Amino acid sequence: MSNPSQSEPIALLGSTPFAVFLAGLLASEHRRRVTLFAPELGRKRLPRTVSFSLGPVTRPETLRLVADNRAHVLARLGEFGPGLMETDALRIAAEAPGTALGLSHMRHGAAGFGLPARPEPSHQAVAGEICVFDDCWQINSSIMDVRAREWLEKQGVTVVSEESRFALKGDGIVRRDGEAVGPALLVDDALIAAHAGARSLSRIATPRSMVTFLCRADRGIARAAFIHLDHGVTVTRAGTGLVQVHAPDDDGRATERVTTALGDAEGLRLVGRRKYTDLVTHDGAPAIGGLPSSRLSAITGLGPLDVALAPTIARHLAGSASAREDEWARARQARRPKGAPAIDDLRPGPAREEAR
Amino acid sequence: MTEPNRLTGDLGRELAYPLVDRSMPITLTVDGTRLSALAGDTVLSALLANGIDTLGTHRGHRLALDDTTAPEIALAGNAARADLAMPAALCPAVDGLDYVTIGKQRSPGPLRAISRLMGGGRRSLDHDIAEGLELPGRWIDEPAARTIEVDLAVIGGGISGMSAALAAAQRGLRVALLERDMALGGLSRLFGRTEGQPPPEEAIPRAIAEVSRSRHVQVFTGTEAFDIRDGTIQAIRVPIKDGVPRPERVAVRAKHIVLATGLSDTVPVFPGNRLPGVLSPGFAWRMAAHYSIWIGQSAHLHTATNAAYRLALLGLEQGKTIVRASDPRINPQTRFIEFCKAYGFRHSWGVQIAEITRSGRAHPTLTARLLDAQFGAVNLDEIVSQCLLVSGGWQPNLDLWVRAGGSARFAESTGKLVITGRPELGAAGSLAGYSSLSGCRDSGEAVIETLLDGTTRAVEDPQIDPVYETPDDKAYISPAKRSGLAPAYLGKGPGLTALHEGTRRSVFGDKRQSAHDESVLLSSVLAPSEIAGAIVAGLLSPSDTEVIVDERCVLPRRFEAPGAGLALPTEPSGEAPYPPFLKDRYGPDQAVFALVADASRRIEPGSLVFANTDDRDPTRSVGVVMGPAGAYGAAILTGWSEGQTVYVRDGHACITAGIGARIEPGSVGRSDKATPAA
Repeated sequence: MSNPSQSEPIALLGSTPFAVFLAGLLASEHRRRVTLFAPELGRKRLPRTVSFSLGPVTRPETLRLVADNRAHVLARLGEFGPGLMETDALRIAAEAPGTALGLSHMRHGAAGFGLPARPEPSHQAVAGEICVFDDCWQINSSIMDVRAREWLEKQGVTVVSEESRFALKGDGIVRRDGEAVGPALLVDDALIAAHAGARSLSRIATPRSMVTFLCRADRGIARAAFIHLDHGVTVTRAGTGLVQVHAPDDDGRATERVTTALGDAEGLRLVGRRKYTDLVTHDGAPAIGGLPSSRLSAITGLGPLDVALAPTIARHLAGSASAREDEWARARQARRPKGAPAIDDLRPGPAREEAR
Repeated sequence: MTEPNRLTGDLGRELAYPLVDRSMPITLTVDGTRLSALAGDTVLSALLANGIDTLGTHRGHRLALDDTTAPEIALAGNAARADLAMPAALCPAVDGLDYVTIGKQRSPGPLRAISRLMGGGRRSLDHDIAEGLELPGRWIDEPAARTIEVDLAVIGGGISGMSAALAAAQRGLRVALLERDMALGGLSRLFGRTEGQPPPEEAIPRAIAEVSRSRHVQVFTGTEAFDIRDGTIQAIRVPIKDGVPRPERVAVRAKHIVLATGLSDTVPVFPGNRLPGVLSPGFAWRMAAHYSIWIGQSAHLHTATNAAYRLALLGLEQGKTIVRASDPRINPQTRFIEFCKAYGFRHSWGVQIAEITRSGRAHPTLTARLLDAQFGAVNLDEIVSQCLLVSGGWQPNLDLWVRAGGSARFAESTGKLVITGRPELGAAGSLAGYSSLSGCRDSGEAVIETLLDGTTRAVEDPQIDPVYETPDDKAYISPAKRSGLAPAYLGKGPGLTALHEGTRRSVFGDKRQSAHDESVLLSSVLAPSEIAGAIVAGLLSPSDTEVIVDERCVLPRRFEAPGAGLALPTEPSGEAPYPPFLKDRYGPDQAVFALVADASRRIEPGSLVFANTDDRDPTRSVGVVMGPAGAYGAAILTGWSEGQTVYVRDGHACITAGIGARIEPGSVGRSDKATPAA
C-alpha cells in the first residue's frame, strides 16, 4: 500500500470485533481519520465470528506475525476492561489424514515460535489428532459489542450504525448522509458479500451458510475452546456455563455436524441460534486489499486470527509495516497475479465446490 | 396442611363453576409435605391452596410459584425418569399419591425444619435457582408416544380458537383443539361485558357447548403445545390412567394449524416484581375461577389495564380486602373504576411502584413504595398487603408462533409485540391483534377462510371510545433506587432475566449500557415478553425486535446424540502432490525424499526439518515430515539431494536423518511403501 498522509480518511465497514479493533488501531496508532460503519454494533446479536490468539494456520510467516503481535494485542485489548478476554486452552481436532498432518505441522510451527502447544495424549471423541494450545485468549464478542462504542470514541473513530445513513457504490467511496467520507474497506464477510459483485467475489471466495448456536453446556464441553477442522465446527466459551458453537450449514446439517464433531454434544442445550453467511477463500488464506475487477477493497479469510493479526493489517494499511509484514500482506493480496506462489492454508469445514 | 387460600362460602356467579369439587376433599404429598386439596385440583393449584406460594430463591431472593415458574414434578420414585416428568400446572392432584418436584433444592434450615415439624406452615418448595428456568421440562426431549392426525389443529381454547375449530368443523374437517388450561374458555370472562358486544358469560358457555356437540372436534384440555415443526405440534398432557397420572407426549400432525394462544398480562419492571404474593390478574383469575383459590386476605391492585379492576371487584365479592387500587395512568377512566369507588376503596392514579419488599414469615406481607409517574418522586406512599395484583399491559402469547418460525415486531405506540411472518400458519384472536370479543370470535372464522379458501376478509374489532374508557397503558420501568432489593425482572419469562441493580435507563431516556446487562440478556433463552421488557428498559432497540426474537426465542432443546454422524469431508484426490497447505511451502522446486534415521526413533508427521542442529525458527525450516512413508518419514525439501544429512526437530528432540531416495509426493502417507519418483 502507498504511504498515506496522516489524516487520510478511511471508511471501514464492519461490525465484528476485528472491524472494531482495526478501526481503533488505525485511528489511535496511525492517526488515520476513521469512520466505522457498523450496522450491527450494540444490537445484541449473536456473533458471527470468533477471535482467538491462535487459530488453524500452518504458514510460518503468519504464525510469526501472530507471535510478534501477541503482547501488543493483549495490551490494547486490555483497554476494553475486564471480562473481554478469557485465557484458556484451545483444542483443535482433525480426523482426516490430510488435516491431521496440517494440524500436527501447525503444532510444530507454533512450538517453534514459543507458543505453548502439545498433543492431547488420549481422547475418545475424535479418532484423529487433537492438539492443545495452552494460554490462548479468546474474545467475548458480546462484551466487546457493549464496550466497543466507548472505546472507539476514545480512539477518535467516528461510528455510524444506522444503515440508512451510509451508502457504498461501485466507485468504492463511502458516503454518509450524501457526503463522501473516504475509500471503503470492507472488513466483515456479511458486508463484503452484500457489496462486492458476485463476479468479483467468486474470484477469491465462496459464500457459505453458517449457524451460530448459543448453548448452555451442562458438562465438560465448556472447559475449553475447540475447533474441529474437518467439520468446521468451532466452540467458544460465552460466559458461565454457556458456549457459542459455529458450524457450516450449507446442507442444513449444522446440528448433526456439531454432534458429530463434539461426540458428547448431548451436554448442550440450545439458548439461541443465528443463521448467516460467511466467506471461505479458495485457498484458505487471507485476502487483503482491492478486490478483483472491482474498485472495492476488502479483508477476509483471517479466520479466528483476525484480531491477532489486526496490528499487522493496520500497519500495512497505514504504510508503516515492516518489510516482513508487507511481504506477508503482498503475498495475500486479493488481486494476486497469476503464477504467484501458492499460500494455501487449512480450510476448516467440509470441502466445497470452488468457483476459481 | 389446611387450605388458607381456598375460597369458601358463596362463590358468586362468575366463580360458581370451578373445576374442583368442594364436596370431595383429598390429600396428597408433595416433597414430603402433606397437602389438603380438592378433587379436580392440579398439583400447582393444590400447592397454592395450601399457602405454598414460593418456588425457592433466585439470587438470594424469593421467587413466586405461579404458572410461569411451576416446576417439573414426578411421582415419588420416578424423579430420575425424564419420560415420567410432568408439568405441575397440568398434573392432576390424586388422592393419596406422593409427588416430588424436580430441581436443585436447598435445605430449609434447622429453624424452619423444626417449625414445619411443629406444624408451622410451609410456604416454599425451597428450590435453589442459580440460572434461569429456561427448560420448560425434560419432556421437550422425549419422543411423542402418540401421534394424532387431523385436518386442522387449533392451539388455544378461548373464543377465537373455539370459533376457528367450529368453522373448520362445519366444513367437515377433522379438528383437534388443544388448550393448556383444564377448561375451555380463555380469559374473555375476566374482561367482562362491553356495550354492543356479546356478553362473555353467555358467549363462552355457548361456544363450549357447540364444541362439545361437534363430532368433528376432538378437544384436548390440559394439553400444553410447546413446539411446532414441519406441520406437527408437539405437546404434553397428563391423563390419569389406572388412577395414576401419567405424562403423555403427543404429536398432532395437521394439514393446517391455527394459533389462538391469546394474551398474558405483563408485569412492570420494578424491584420485587416476581416476589411471592405478586400475581398477574390473568393467573389470579384462572386460579379463582377454576380452583376457587385467592391468595391472601388483603390485596393491592396496581394496574395499567382496565380488566384488572374487575378482578378486584371479584375479590371484594369474596370478602377480601382491597387495600388500594393504584394506576400509573393519569386520571384513568373506566366503568370498573367507578364500581370500585362505589365499593369505597382508595384509588391512586399517576403512580408507579418504585419497589416491593416482603417481610414476615408466618404471615408475610408485601410493602409497595409508590412514586410519582410523572416526576419520579419516591415514597409518596407505602401500601402493605398480602397480595399484589399487578398488570403492566397485555402482550400476545407468541412463544409458539415464534418457535414455529414466525417473528414479531414491537409497536412503540402501544408497547405491544405484533406478529409478523409465517403466512402458512393461521393466527386468530388476541395473537392476531384483536381485542373485542366479537373481533376475536370473527377472526377465528376468518382465519379458516384464509387457510382453506385463500380469501381474506376484514374483521371488525369495535373499541370503546377513549372518552369513556382510557386505553390500557404500556409497562413501565422503575429501576432500583437502592441496593439489596429483589431483582426487577424484565418479564415473566423462564430466563429470569432481570435489570441490573442500579441501572438507570428508559426506552425514552438515558441508554447507557453496561456489560452486565449484555451478559444478562445473553445468558438464557428469552421469552417474547422478556424481549418486550428489555425494549422498555432500553436494553434493546425496538427496531431489532424481529432479529432478536428470531435468534433468542427458541425451544431450549438438547442436541441429540450423533448416531451414525456425518462422514468426514472428502480429502483431495491422490493426484494432488501435496496437501493444499503444503503447496509451494518450500518454493516451486520443492520435492519429497525419504528420510532415513535411527530405526528406534519414530518421527512425527508435521515435524520440521532443519539444515542445522540449533535451528528452531520455522521460517528457516527446509522441510516438513509428511507421513510414515519410507523408512522414517518423508519430507519436502528444496535444493537437497540423496545422501545429505538434515535435522528433524520433534518437540525438544533434534533427530539426525539422512536424505533417502526422492519419491512421488502424492504417495506419501497413502501406503506403507512410497512410490519412487521417476
